[in-house]
Amino acid sequence: MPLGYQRLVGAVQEAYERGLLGKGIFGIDGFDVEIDDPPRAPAPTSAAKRRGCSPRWRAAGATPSSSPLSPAVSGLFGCPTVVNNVVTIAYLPYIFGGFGRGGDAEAGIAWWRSHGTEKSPGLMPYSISGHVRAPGVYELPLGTRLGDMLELAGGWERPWKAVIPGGSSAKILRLPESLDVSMDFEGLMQAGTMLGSAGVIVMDETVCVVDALYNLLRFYAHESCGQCTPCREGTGWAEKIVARIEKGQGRMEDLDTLLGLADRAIGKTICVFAEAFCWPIQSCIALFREEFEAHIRERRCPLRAGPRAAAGERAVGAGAH
Amino acid sequence: MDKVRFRIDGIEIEAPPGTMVLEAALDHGIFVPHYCFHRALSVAGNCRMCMVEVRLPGRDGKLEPARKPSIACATEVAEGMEVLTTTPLVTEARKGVLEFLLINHPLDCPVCDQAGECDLQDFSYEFGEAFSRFREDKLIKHTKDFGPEVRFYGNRCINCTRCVRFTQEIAGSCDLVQVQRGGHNVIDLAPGRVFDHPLSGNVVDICPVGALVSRDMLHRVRVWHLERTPSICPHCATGCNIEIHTQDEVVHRLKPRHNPEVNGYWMCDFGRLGYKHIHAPQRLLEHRWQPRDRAEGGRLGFQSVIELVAEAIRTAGPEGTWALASAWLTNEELWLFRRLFGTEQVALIARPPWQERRFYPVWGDSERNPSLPRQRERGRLLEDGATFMIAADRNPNRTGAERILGEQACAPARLDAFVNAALAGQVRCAVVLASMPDYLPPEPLAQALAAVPETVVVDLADGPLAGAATIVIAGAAWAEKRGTFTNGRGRTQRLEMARPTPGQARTELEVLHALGTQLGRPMGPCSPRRLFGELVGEVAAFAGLSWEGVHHQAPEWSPHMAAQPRRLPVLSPAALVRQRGGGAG
Repeated sequence: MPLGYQRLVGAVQEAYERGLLGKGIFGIDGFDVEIDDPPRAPAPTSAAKRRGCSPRWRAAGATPSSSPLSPAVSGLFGCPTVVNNVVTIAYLPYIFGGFGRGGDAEAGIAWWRSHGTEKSPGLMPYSISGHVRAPGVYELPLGTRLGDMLELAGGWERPWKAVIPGGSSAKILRLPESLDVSMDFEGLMQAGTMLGSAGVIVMDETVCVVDALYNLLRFYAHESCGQCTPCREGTGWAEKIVARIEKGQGRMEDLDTLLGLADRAIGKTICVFAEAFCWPIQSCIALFREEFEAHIRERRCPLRAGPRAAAGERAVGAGAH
Repeated sequence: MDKVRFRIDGIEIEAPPGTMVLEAALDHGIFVPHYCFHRALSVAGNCRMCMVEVRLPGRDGKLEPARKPSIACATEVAEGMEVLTTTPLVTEARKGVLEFLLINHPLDCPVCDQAGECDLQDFSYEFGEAFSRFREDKLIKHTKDFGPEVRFYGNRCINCTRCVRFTQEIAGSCDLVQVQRGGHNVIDLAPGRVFDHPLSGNVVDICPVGALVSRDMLHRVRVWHLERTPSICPHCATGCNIEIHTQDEVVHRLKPRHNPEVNGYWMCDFGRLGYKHIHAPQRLLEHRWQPRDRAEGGRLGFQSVIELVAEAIRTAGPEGTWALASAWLTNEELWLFRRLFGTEQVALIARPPWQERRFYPVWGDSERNPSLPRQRERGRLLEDGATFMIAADRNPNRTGAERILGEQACAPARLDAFVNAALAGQVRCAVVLASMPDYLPPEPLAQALAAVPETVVVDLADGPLAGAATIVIAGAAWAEKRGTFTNGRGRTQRLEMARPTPGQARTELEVLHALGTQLGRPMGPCSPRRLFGELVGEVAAFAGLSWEGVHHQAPEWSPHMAAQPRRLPVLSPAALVRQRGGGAG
């Protein structure tokens, strides 16, 4: 059983034992809060999206719901359903409950506001992976400079080439040009990408962007639930094209095909999985077009024989080394 | 209820709140292409074909252009909404979906049974592009027989899940499921199941592409050669509205015809495959005389056989003559039968109720069929609140016979009376108008018929009934007749002639008319339509009906087809070249 899952179940159990969960919590009659064990069966990533959870919970198949209503209006069993990330829930007691501040909610809010920027106050656990010496989860104020964050994670011996700032579906940024970017919602939106899950994936100059994109697209082709046509067919198609380019069998028109299929998939599906697999395609081609063209021109991956081979083909985005 | 007012392509439309844009559009003759949406099934919203541009009034009351298209099947109509189905946003979205649908499609139309009635073909032609940018290897999925009636070609499947929802929501059997995920998604049998549900054939109808095809008609005929005749299924008292599809006077398949008050979009497999007897090798093609006491006899022309029958009836006299009608005769034939034989020395023969034990939803008179309890809990409600079920009574027109000949004449006691009289030697001549497929007369009846000196049988095929006869007349199958049936719920519906009678065979109407004429009765013109008119005037239960009124014109001609027959645009060669020029070689 994964460690994270064990800890989650353990925490839930602890809360029951202390009377924070269950029937009549805090001695208030009729105030019942129950937490079910999270489902463990493998499900596509798309089922973890906001629209995907409720069909999954009622065992109706792990596919996002096509209901035109947001889950907050009509979700699980047709009832209003709040779907939040664990991070959000974990911070709530500190902000509104005055947790650690003697129950003073005002102090909690003031403390939260003392971090971060005007529009994005507070902290964020950034999960930094890839080419840094000390990858891991860093809880930092929102708005931290990207360069500072990477230095905090130990820096790296070779120059950086690119960063994906907000989980694999966020648009890629070039380094070192983007080292000054402010790692908050607004700053990253201004830079043309997003904070997303705050999963920061760093790549140095040995990384082949085409290969990295292929890696991402393999993931997306595997994770699409296959419900909506554009995503079901588009993920596999894009993966095959990029695999071909990486192998040195690409054609120049493949890049137009990739961008074209991204245009045809974005905004045409029930959940945002289409966007998730298309944004990396669009941004990788937009920022690293010359690398794609080099693959096609030279009929091989230029980095296979270059610095990447020297660096021993270290995996990218593999989390803790 | 208040109605919502909105516009689709500039046309002002009113619809009750909660209506989906797609339904409203189809109801008003605006065609929006769609695959996964089916009116009788829940909304899945997965095919993304029905995308339209929806503009809603903003705070200032002005319509705001949409950033992205919405699916019409899951978008509720709203006051002041403006729906556009032909904007560049929509046409581009449709092209995209069709491109995605076709990349892994085998494009095997030349060997696909669906070709010609395939929504993938039609929509690609009308809304798609003539080229593909796909250069990769296609995904391969399984081909297998799901059940006795249904074959699945995974490569052709577009994963709309209509079939899965059908087995969940209509059949209630959950036989089909979607397995794998992403591009590998494929429909499969639920573990341990065989798709032999009595409603299985319907998934072939609702499959918008050639993924689910009929094993019965596999590679037998091209659908564009088929002529379609609206008719009524005769195999039970439900009276499903159907189409008979024929090519060169050969029936190739039966398809359900939408009628919300009778069968919805469905029919059962017993009915669907219930056309085989029309072309059975045992089918009677000529009239025969086979006297009991003499070795002679043989084939006869129609006029000779009628003369022979008339002679037998005259010889027997009114007291010695009995006539048996089957519950497969049309109302018009029964009316003529009554005019000829009255309602006293007549009885009704009918096929016995379903005997199979396997579960399927059955409705019917539980007093008449105590072995078959009502099973209403499964299956979905039709619009009038009835469930799609097969009737226990395996005869199309028992109700019509009861209305025309009277309840007493149709009661089993009357048939017993005939059997007793025949065995007692009081019957000199028996005229049996059967024309029922798969009918085995019960043992006492067979003995009684064999005991009568002159037994005239009008039937479809050689069998025990024809074997017991002295005079055999080749009759007509239901697909060879015009007329009306009255189903078990009292609804009178019209059937049409899909093919002429084979060989020497004659319809019962012709037989009765010729016989009446031969017996010197005033028969008058005997078209089904005219007889139906007489019936309306003379039998109270038919009062108020009209020949036109008993034919239900389906708003949707066939379940897989669009609301309106669409005229496809003809692409000029120049347009094709232009389209190709835009692509990559």
